[in-house]
Amino acid sequence: MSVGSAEPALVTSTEPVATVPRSRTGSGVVARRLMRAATKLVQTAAVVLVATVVVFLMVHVVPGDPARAALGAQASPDAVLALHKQLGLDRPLMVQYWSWLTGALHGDLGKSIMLTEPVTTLIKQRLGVTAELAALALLESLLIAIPASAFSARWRGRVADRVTRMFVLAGIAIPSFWLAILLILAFHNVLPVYGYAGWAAGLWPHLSHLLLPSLALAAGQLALTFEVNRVGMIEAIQDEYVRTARAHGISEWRVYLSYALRNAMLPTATVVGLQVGYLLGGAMLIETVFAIPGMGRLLITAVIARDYPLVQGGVLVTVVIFVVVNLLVDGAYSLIDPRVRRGQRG
Amino acid sequence: MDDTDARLARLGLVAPTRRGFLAGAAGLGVLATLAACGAGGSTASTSTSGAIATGKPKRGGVLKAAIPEEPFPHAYDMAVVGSSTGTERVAYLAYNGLTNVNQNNEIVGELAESIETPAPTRYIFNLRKGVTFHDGTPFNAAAVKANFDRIQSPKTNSPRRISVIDQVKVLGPYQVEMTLTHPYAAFLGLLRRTKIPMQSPTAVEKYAASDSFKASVGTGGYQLTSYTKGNGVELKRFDSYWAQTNYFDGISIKIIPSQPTAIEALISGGMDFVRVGPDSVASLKNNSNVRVDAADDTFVDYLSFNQKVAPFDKLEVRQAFSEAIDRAGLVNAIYHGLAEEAHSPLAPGFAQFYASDATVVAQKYDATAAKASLAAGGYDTGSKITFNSFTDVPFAAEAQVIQQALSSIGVNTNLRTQDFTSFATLFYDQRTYTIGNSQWNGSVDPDEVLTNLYGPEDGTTSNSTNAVDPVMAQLITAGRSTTDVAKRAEIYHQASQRAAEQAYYAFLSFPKVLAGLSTKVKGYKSTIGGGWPIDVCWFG
Repeated sequence: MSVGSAEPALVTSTEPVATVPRSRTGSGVVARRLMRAATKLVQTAAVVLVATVVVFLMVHVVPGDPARAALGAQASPDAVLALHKQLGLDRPLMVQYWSWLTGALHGDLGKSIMLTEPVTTLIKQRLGVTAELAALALLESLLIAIPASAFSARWRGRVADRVTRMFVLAGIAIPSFWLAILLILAFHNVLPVYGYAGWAAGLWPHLSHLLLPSLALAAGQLALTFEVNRVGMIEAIQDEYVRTARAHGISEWRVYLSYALRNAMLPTATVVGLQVGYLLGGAMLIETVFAIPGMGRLLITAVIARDYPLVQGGVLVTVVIFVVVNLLVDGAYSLIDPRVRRGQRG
Repeated sequence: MDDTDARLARLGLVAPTRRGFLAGAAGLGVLATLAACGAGGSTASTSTSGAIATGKPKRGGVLKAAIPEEPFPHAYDMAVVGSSTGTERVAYLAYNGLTNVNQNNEIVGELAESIETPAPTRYIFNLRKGVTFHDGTPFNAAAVKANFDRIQSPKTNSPRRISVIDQVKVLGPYQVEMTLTHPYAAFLGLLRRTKIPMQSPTAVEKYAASDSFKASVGTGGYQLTSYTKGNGVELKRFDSYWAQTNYFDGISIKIIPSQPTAIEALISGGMDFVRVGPDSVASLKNNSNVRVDAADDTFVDYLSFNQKVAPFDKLEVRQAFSEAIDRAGLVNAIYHGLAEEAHSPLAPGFAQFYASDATVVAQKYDATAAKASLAAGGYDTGSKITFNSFTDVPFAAEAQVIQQALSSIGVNTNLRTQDFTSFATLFYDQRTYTIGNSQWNGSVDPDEVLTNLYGPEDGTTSNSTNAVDPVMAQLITAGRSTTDVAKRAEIYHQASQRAAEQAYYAFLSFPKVLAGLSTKVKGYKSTIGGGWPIDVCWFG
């Protein structure tokens, strides 16, 4: 066994080896993997289909007429009724759903009632902004949470650990929209507090518009990553391979960073993958507070205006992203941890 | 001759023209605009609109302003845009109307240099010459006819169609005649810039079907250049603007839904103009770079009683509910004093048509009388009624204050607060609620308010009470039939009295319109009718 490798945990693992007989031939392995992939795909399609039905029913059950929202408070009921019919909202629900679903299967998510543009065009415009905000928030949460958790685990139970935990966990305790307003109040003279500047505006103007919103968005995720990674590190440093490393006289910081942290990162990677979905959800509030024209704001505008095609299309895309990210996380996990590939875990 | 005089001379407004009684008014309108350009802006915290003197207008700079919501569909092709105050405010910067509201809140000619009324149902508009749309299309009688043909056509299904117009005829290259189906004294107000802005017929023909924004070409001081959905709207100065009262190089408008964010942007200098709510005024008071403009308008908050739901068909019950509400307390609690107590539908912004407290005796707070009226109406205090409201500021809080007031006379309510779209569908379209609070705003003539609050229950008005009041209908008709201001004022005082006595609505407050401005913005004076007169402002 090589002390410098991150693999020793496998050698010392006490987990039972799977006893189910498996085909040893290459074609059997391929067939099994294909079957697993097909099952996953069918499950994914079912999840997406159910989500579309649920969202369709919800937006139509919620009171409020898109025609009234589009024409305003002072429009006459006659004008509202005329637009209602013009939008085809007087057709039976099943007919409306089937019409939308068949369009969606052909890549046509309809036209936004409020913004009068194809839903796909609007989503394309906004998705990149939200993806960038979420990516920056994720990066910030990792850059803060990983070193902080290593530090906290190193000084476990001491004052430094308690103070670090207190600050980081405040991120979960404070609602993100409230933190966002606090950040605006504190930094309104230093950083832009609203809007979005594209890359064309220059690197600093671009990033400066995203710093406060991404920090507000990162705070909640940061605390979760911190806690998972801290626990993982505390468990890892009690493992035999860490003791072995120490016995070889390797410096304490190297033991923490090269051995314990690397193994603690496995569950952290899973959590980070799941967080992508939560970041997309959290972006709704943050984009509203900071007036960022992303997917979150688009969906909120759509819900307020009862813009049925936009709500349905936006939620469909969000669900697909969430499901695909989780599929990728599943796949990545088996790549990171060889035991998953070998059927020993998961 | 200074710049202002030169401009007036170019506009032919130094001496009144001899044609038509409104020609002078049109001139006075522009005069008032220019005069008021010397008003507004200081380090004072809260000011009455336009009350503060400043220097001469200066060119330059880009005004940054915030709006809270996305413009309505088809922005800014206004012929097909619904009744959105936010959308109309931005459009106000890019367009002109045949008429507009001047800074004295009077309807005056804008693109109509003078207006003649040879008969109560005939209006002849003599158009301003030398005016061009932003795309170079000349503004003339043909352009006016094209605009009205489009709006009045059933094919367009325009929410801005004016049912009283019978015919629009071109009399000459710069002369148009409109014939009405019946005399309608409020007619010129319906043609104001926010309601019927003149659009370039060339742009409409070319783009209306494919791109609403490209079809949005007016004759106003600022030209719409881009609209990024979800982000904002950009306008640049139109150098050939006929009135030459456009001093900024451009106006940049951002959509900022969160009011705290907009206010912080104003404080930090990132914004020059934002709308503020009464709750935010206190936080701006000590900032020397910001002032709050508070102006009387024609807004009225009310509690509506559905006549189709017992026992609100009984006058005594409606009066009891009205008498239970302490309007002074409500104005202080909800509007922090930035509103007037209401006792009738016509707000102080209507000037001579506003019936003062001394004129209208009904609809006053009197808890003892309220209990007596409730008993007289046979109201069952053991019952519980549903009270519908909506989440927008300050209506949910207003509803809570009303709920407590009703509780004090023994009325139990189940307060149901929804988002505005849900509320509006129930309140204005289905009209199946029991009681609910809302607001009417954006009017320039009492007829607009009274027609919508008391008009026929046939789907053409916003009469949420389902009430049919023949006396009020007669007063509305009488008010429309004469252009004599004194006579109309007398009629509308009677209408206010009738509205207060019958209590189909309990009128609550007349809120002021509030705006937060950087003190470097000069010349701002709020006007009634939903306009956004930042188009005549400048940086000091």
